[in-house]
Amino acid sequence: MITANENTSWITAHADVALSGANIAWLNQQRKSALTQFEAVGLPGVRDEDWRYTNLRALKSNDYALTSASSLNIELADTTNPRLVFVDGHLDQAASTGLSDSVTSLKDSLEIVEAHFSSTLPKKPHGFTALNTAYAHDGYVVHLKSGQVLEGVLEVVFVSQSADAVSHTRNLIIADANTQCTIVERHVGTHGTVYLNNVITEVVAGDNAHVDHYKIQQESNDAFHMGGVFINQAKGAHVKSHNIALSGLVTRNDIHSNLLGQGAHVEMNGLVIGQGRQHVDNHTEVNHAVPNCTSDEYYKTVLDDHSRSVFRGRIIVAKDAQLTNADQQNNNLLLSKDAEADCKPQLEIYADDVKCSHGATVGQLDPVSLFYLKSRGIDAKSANALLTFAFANEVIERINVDSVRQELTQIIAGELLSGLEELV
Amino acid sequence: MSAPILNEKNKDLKKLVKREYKEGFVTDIESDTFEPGLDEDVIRRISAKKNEPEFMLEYRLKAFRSWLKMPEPSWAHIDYPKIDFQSIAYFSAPKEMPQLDSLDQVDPKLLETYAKLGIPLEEQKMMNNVAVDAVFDSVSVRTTFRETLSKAGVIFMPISEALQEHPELIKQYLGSVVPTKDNYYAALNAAVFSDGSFVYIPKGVRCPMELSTYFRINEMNTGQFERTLIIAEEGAYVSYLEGCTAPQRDENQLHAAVVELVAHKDAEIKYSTVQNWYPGDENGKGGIYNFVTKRGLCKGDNSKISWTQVETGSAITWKYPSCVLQGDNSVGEFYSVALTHNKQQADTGTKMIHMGKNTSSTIISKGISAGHGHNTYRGLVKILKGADNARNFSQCDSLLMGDQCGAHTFPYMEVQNPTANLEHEATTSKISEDQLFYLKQRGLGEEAAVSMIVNGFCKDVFRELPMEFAVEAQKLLEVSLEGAVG
Repeated sequence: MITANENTSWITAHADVALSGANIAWLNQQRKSALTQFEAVGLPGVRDEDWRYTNLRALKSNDYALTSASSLNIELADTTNPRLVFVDGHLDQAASTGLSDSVTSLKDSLEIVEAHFSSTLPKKPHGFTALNTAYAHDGYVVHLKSGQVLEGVLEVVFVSQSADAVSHTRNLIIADANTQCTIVERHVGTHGTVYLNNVITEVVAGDNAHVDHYKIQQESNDAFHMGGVFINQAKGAHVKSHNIALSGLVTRNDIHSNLLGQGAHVEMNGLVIGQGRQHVDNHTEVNHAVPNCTSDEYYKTVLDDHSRSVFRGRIIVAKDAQLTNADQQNNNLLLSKDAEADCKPQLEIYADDVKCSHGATVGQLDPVSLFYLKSRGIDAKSANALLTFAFANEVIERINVDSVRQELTQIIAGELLSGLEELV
Repeated sequence: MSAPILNEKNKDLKKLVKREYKEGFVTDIESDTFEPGLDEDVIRRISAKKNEPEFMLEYRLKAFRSWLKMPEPSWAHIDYPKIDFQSIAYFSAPKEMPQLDSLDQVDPKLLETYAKLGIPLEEQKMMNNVAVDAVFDSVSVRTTFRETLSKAGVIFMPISEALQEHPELIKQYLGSVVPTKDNYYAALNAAVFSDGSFVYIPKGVRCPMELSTYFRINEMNTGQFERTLIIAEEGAYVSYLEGCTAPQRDENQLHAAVVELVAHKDAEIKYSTVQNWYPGDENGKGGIYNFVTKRGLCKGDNSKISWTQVETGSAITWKYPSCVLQGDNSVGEFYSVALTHNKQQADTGTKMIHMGKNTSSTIISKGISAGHGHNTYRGLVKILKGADNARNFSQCDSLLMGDQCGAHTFPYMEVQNPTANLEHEATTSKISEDQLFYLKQRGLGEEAAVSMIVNGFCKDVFRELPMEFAVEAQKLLEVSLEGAVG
């Protein structure tokens, strides 16, 4: 058992981990230095500027056991797409379809990832990121060789079923030049179960690669999700990151993109539907390192009950990154008097020939629109629901995978906005 | 016209026009300055010198003791060598300063200094309806129009005199908005402040004229720590303006001021600053470190506090004029133009804390960066749980001139009430060649065209300044921007 609040506990527990590839020199080296990093920073607290709005007291007051491989004991919805299933952070071969030369598990492809492992991570990672590098035992690896297109949609489902468990997974999407893929990553758990899911996805997009990445979080209402999507983009690479948080007690996502080659474009879409005591903290960062890159961020939040959302969106335009075009939007809708939204957009600009803008709003539904709907004979409750859905739908519309878009529409319109499904 | 030609032209322009800091002279005047260093003894001496009541000394010592325990803040987006607080002299006053009753008794050299700065100390010569309190190094040298003001019941005097004449008011309000432990520089100020202005507007009085304080650092190696306290009683109105300059020196000098405003029910305070401390030379040598805490409390219902600032000077500006909107329907406003040129750095913005119901705040911030300047907007809008129907609009625009400068925005929004309505917008851009071209083909020279565009960019803020000062600010901006075209 790891006592989360004691940093030494995380360090000593590392010795117990019998990991595959433990005898691989480069990996051991990385793990060792990550552990040293963790020793220095520990788990973050509200005194850290990047965590000032996210209190981890509940997470830290728990003990966690490292997980071992087990088989799936819940039923997943049918899908026509190839699907990988990870149970408590370990690949469940039997439940998975779609494994191929290009789609493997981390355990089986250590030699492929050597050059890329941790290459996209921030220079000063926080405690959870360091722990992820130190502990990561499995995850999916998509490796596309130059010119290769991964047909259709690859789904990866991470199921957390053991209580009081902690899993650290590391995924890599290595898309060489002129490749294309769409990956839908889901995180699911059973409500009522407490666990800690620490998951990082690295995306290394080569010249003109197109990567469409979805991260849909439907964690247990008592679960902690510490996630990261770290992206490096070469010349002309187009990456879209979609980050949809529907449940989980405390969720933190760091979505970073480094635009390293000219003509690269990143799109970051985010949607938070907060209920109960849910707390969602999204930290995005776009690093414009070279000229002629564009970025487009669109994060929306709907907060009900006691839920709370934190958004930090940082855009850095380096000295030489002229002709940058960066846009960021963050809109928050508060539905309850106990909900709270904190947002912190940041622009750091060191070049002069750039177009950068950000906008942030916090507010309620437009009373004029509500009145209009009511004047057309729609009752107040439905009018509210319709407008709330319309607000969220602006992010959903940006989803390119039909099945995912329909599914989210159903979930958000039906379950969350009670009975709107007939209308949409 | 193609871009390269334009750039070539700019280079010539840059060579042609060098920016001059015309307020950079030193007045040779005998002064009574403490030796550098800071301990409890120095504070006792300041307090004794000012003949202060006992509570004031205790207040200072308490602040000093908490200051000793505080770490120097490092979160701002600014870069400067560590300040040695023991190498600063904490008190400096022009010598031979008996009680002044008429202008004749003021040292002619001082009058000359203020004349050079364009401060109309001589009442008869005054064109504007402005009462001036001039603070030279650490002490207030002359307050004009006192009689006219006292007829209206307005108290406008140096805070050191107010301590003698109205100790009960000082005791009641000093530190009530910015407590001694508020932050590192506020604590230091509370311990060592030597003078500043005190304004009290009684119930229902509309101050008959603009009030103004002029701050001047003259002595070498001194720090200036002034304290301003403005109280507007129920239904009162006052507009207050401060201006600042300092001689041109190679070493950095510290300026750490605290301004506290209290607006009671239905009162309104308008506080404008034109800050033109010496910014250092083009290599970043010298200049004033400006670490200032300004905060206004909208204590009563329907009260209003409005901050307007034009920040063109100082090597480093660290300043966040804030409003605590405690009363229902109270209003807070912040209008700012901050210019950084050469190696200047500014980290400035505001805090709007909404506590009362139906409170509203507006933030308009315009940052201009040129040369190697770095300009940061940092602001907080906080809506507390009980602040129903709070409204905020923020706009932070940055204009970049040149490829070596930086513009940054760090707004924070914390909302705990669903009826709140917040909007934040920020843009960063440069002067577009289209705009320049258009103005030039209308017959304007390049400098004039740039100046016109910049003025248009700042219009929303200048509009808020009292008229004479708006003109002044516009000129100041022009001078400060000379040689920055590009």
